[in-house]
Amino acid sequence: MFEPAIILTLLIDGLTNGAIYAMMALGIVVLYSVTSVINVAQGEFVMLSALSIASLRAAKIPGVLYIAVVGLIFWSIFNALAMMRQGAAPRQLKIWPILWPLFLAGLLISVVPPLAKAHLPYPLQIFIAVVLTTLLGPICYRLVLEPLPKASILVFLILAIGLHLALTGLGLAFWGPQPYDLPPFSKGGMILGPAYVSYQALWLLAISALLMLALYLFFNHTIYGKALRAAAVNRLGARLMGISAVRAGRLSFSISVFLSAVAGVLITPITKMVYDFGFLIGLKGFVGAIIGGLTNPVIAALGAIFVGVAEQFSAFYISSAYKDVIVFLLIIPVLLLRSLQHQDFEEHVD
Amino acid sequence: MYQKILVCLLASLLFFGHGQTIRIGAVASATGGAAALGEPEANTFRMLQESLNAAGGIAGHEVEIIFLDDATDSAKAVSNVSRLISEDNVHAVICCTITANSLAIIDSVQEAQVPTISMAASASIIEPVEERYWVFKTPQTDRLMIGGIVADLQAKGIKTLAFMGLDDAFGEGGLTELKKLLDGSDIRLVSTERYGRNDTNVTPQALKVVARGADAVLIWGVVRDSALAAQALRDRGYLGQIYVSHGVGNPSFLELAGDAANGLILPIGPLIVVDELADDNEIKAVAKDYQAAYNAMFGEGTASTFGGHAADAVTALQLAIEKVVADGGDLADLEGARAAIRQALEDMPAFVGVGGVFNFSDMDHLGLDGRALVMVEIVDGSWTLAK
Repeated sequence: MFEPAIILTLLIDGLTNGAIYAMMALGIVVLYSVTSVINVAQGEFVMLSALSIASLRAAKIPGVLYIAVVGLIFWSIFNALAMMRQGAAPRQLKIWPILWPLFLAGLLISVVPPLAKAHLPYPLQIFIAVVLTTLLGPICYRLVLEPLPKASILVFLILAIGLHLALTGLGLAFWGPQPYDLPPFSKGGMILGPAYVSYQALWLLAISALLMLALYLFFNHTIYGKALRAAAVNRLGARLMGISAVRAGRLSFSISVFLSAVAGVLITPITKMVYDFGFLIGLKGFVGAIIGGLTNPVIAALGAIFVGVAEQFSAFYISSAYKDVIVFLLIIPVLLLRSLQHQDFEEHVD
Repeated sequence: MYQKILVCLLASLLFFGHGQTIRIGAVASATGGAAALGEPEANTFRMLQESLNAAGGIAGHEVEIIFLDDATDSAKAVSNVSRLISEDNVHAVICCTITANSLAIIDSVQEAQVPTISMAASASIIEPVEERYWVFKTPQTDRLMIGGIVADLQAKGIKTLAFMGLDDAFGEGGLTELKKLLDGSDIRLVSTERYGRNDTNVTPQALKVVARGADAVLIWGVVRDSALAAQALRDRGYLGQIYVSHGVGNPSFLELAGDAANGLILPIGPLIVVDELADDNEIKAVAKDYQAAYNAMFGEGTASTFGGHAADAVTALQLAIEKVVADGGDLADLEGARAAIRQALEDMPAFVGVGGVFNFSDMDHLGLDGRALVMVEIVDGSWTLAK
């Protein structure tokens, strides 16, 4: 039961899962720090990007395109309504905020369908699906969260649950209940010591590590990243320094959706994908994020990786029937510990 | 002028009132989570209403199959069934696609005393018969399917078996039946592993099965997870016989599992390998007719076992109603007709359906036997009758 082959296999699979959970956890932490939104729908974007590639491979128009186009049309309407609410008469409306979302929607609807029909090479299909899915980030933020800038964490949480339900439903409507598969980046695998590793798992580990490194560099060495961190530390102070809370929100939602979209591309060749697959991945990422106190990205990522590894080992050595129970039970001691450390673990008011 | 039209209308009303229409209420999950099962059922209802009426209806009466979608939602199934019974005054109900919904409507139909045929798997829908007086069903039960697997294990002389199943009602139901069937046999269950429907991998479970060295593995799940489990076992170098459930009987499984699907054995209704059945198999002609009719209407290669369950439910009602009419029953007397149809279902001699040979009785509201399933092996990415 304790052969190195078994332990190594469990460890590698645990790291593979953990890397995906870590990307979820990072997305949740980035968004929560900047906007105090707990994104329950984090995992749904995993599903949307993966199933969009499946559509493109079948030369079909991905459902994400329709979501984006309809979302952009609403964006334009919301902009007009917002201007009217501020007291502008219909004639005084600025034309640009109303036109540009429509223009972008028109561009998407004219460019993407021919590309979908063109049987592009796999990497390009991945690129299109990731871009389209990432676009949903700012769109969802604009339509769902931005109209309520001063809402409490609880209201944001309820909105995020609504978003999760809506996206799952759309996933079912566009792709149906059957599972889809994507080809691995490279077929086969290699023998690593006593264990077998598929190349896709190596791709997954490498790309997710690169992505996390890029995220670190972004937050520490670019002006936008620093602005986001500033907004996360003190929203009012950041606003006084000219950092727009709205833009910070859109950017952070885009980053977190982008992480999910890439995760979907990486994991589908290993796990296959169904319309309701995202929620559980998001939830396990959330456990990691909780370990990081929802604000510390490094501990959140490590926590998520720990969740992935713990899941594998508990399924093998304890009981496969209780592995999810064990993973979610992890939250309790962590919360207990954190509550001892911080007396002010209440909702922060700005 | 208007008076004349009115008279004509009244006369026609009287005339049609005499030729009582038979109303069958049908509820299936054409959308929602079980849409892959419910959609072919809904299509089958549409197809059979047309073909029955084109052939002069049932015993000379026009048939109306009133179809409602429950969107895989138990609450909606219940409200649909209540509506069909109290507003549409149906003679009989066919509902529902999945076990949860079929169980949810039992109280309504028992109380309203309407004969009902379910298209869902679990034996609990029709058992105990005393509490399910009005309820019948057409699909094979888990017990029947696992019975086929156990018989196959015994025929192959396999002594140790590992079980990997979903951690939900479907998986647990399978495990319970398996334990009952293995009890008293010389086959030992050496490992029992569970996994979630949306798990990212099942490697630990596969490793454990390999470590325990079972001669055969039964994977009791549905499409995606079973494909993952089979792949995990093969990746870990497992060479024993792998069995899967009838839940994978869907072309997308072959695609997902790829090479790992080869050599897998599963029990399933005969429709999937209908061309390979022996010519003296009584089910072959019925299943082929259904397949041909369905494919002609909805596209080549679209006929499925699930639509077959719906077709068998309609056939059972057709035969029962024919019997009621032949015995001089009055279809206009709704309560009397409903009771007579139920009795006719129970008393009916065996009939051949798409899914098997049905012989309902007051002890058994399913009445299928071993002829309702075949053991299928996946060879080179396609279903073939196992030798």
